[in-house]
Amino acid sequence: MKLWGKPLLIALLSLAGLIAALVGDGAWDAFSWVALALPVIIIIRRYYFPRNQG
Amino acid sequence: MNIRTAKRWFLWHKWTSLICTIFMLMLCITGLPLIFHEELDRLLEKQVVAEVPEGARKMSLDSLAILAGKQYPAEKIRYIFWDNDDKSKVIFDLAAKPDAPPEGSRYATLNAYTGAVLGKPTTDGIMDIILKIHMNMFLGIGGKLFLGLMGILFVIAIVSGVVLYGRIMKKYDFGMVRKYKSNRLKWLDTHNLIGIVTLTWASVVGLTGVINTLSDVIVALWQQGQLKEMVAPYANQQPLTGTLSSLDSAMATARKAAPHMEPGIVTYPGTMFSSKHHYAVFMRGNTALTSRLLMPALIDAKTGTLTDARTMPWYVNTLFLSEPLHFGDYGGMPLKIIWALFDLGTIIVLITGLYLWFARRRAASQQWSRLTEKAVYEDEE
Repeated sequence: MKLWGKPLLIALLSLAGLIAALVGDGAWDAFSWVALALPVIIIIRRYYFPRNQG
Repeated sequence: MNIRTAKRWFLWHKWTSLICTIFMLMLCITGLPLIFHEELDRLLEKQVVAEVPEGARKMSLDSLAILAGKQYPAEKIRYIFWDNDDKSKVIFDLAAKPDAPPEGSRYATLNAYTGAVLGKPTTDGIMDIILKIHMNMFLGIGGKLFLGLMGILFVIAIVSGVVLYGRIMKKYDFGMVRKYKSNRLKWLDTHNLIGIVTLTWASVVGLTGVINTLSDVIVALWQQGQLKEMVAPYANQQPLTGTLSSLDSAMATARKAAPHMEPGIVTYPGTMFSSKHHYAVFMRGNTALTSRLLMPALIDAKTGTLTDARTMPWYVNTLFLSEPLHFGDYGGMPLKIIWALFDLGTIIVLITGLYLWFARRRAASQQWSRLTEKAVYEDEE
């Protein structure tokens, strides 16, 4: 779980985001933006600010 | 996992990546401007806005078709499209023969209310060239299918990469980047971090890309399958002669056959998307999802009556849904920006991967020369 927990969570969230924008407009689109922006933010935080987290 | 299994995964990862990387880099780089093609098209071609006079009503499609035909006297109309975002524009595709290759197409965009010719789009602009490189490298169907094969290798590289990630990261925390130990470790950790986080996006865009390369195969399957069934009663009929039936009545008939749907494309008899005897009016739904799934209504182009209207088979719908999932054009500008960021991330994964291969090779050859100098032969595995 320590190894796969976060990658699995990110994968499922991305998948939900990719599908959401396809299913509907408005709130669905907004959800997909948040769900898919998160992985990008995670990369930037882990790479540039590795000390600010547990 | 024992060392031999791990080695096998490593070799799969190494070779599938090595073969496809150069093409994937090309696809990522040409794909980047293509994400924003609508915006860039508007910028490059200075698209004209269709002015709608107050109180004006849409002209009949038949009279618009006559006006479009006058633009290219040597060609005949074969497809009619409606602009997705701007319903006041109608795009006509004309060619010398209905089954001519796409390169034979001439285009005319008309104002649906006034019949004014808004433009004659060509397909030799910079965006068209980029698209052509991205789709088939100017190598036709062979180039397209080859890129599909590269896409399959890319997906295998992703799967084997995930297995290797599990092996490497077993004892470490998620997201670790060892920046100050060695270049190789820094690039390895970067490769692993971006690779595992962009995993879903890269897999989906990779797989849908592969499906898109099969579009010609899918169209051929549909022609030989559903389309053939739908027009079976016409199989032995003489080819159409004389004037075709009214487009407007064909549209009205199609609307009646598929209520709550809007016509998106009309294809003429003899084109690859219809039979020799029919107009095919492709209707689309009006929700985010159903607007992607077209439903053909076949209208006898002589009598104007409905022959059949059916929803498309699953393999065509798979293609329809693969398009947005590959292009990223289905969730407004924010989604396009996200698409671009993931694309850049994938470029970094590809380049770091290439670097790691070089670094490993160098390390291996140095190690080998050290070993031979000492005349010690050991099998490392």
